[in-house]
Amino acid sequence: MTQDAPASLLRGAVRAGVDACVYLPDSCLTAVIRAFQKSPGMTMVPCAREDEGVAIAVGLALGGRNPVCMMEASGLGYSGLILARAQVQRTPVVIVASHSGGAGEPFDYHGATVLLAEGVFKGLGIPYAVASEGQSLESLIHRVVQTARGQLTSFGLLIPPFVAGARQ
Amino acid sequence: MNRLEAMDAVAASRGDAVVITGPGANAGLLYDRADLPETIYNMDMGYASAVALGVALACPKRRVLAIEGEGSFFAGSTVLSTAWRMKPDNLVVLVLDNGVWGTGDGKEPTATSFGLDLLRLALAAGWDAAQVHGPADAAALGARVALALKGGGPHFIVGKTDPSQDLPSSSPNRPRPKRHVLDCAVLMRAALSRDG
Repeated sequence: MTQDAPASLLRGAVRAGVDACVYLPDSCLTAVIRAFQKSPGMTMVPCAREDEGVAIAVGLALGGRNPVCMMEASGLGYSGLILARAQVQRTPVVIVASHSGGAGEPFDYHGATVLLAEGVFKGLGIPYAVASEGQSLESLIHRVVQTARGQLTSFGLLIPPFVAGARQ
Repeated sequence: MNRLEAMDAVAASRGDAVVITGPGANAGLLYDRADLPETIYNMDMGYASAVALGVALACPKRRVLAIEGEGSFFAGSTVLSTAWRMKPDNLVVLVLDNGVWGTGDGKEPTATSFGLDLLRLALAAGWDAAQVHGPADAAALGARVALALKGGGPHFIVGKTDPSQDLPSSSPNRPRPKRHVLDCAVLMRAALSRDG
């Protein structure tokens, strides 16, 4: 890891106007979630299921807030229907999810998560980006939020464990 | 009470509340009786109350009402714990429980026909008993919704209805919202943006 991922993601999100974070705890994103929790003015909503969290984010967006959802990518598997609804009604939800279909996934128990992480976004035609080492996370999340709001589309940001700074 | 009586009472009590309905007959009945721009109809199964929770958190000056059937609500009932955890005082969740799925021939029993008690489920999720209501008839339901929409929430209301006179989902006589879900979202966003 060449940058402080939690601080970078928070800076970029705040710069893009993100003011709410719906989340389910995840080992890779723990430090990111803790950084958001410490951000003044950030509404934090811990949810019980990832799809419930996406639905709450849809409501926040309808109400004029600018939320992100944080989860392990496994939760995308639950969230297909509500993400599809968000697309149909053009209510943008930014998803920040750990894991991807790419390199740096050593554990077999993440196999299903890795399989579906990009598949859900591809299947629904939702744009997404996979963060990589050496890339500015601050700039990346800023641009992701820009596009989501500007184009009224949900947008996924997948963060492999080694980019999130997770030990493995 | 039957569904029509219940929805007549709810419509009369709505005021200017933001409403998110679940899928099915309640959506069309509300559209017929008390349509406002601040309405999302036919939110997909399991998500009406969660979307309403999000709107309530975003718009604390607005009253927000979720209306779901028991089949949809139970599918997304984890939101009970999240709503109680966040405790928005402007949120009212109303479940109309007729004990059957409102799809197909309308004769497939739901979990409440086999003992599931949604009021007790809310209590088990931590809700204070004072916030959990089970009005017995349409008049009591309307009064409870009106009172709950004055604040002091979150409130969780379950109204039991008799399904014997419900129209099947395939009936051409069943009212349906005449507004696309995209237009609903655009109208709601515009209406809420005027709140500042």
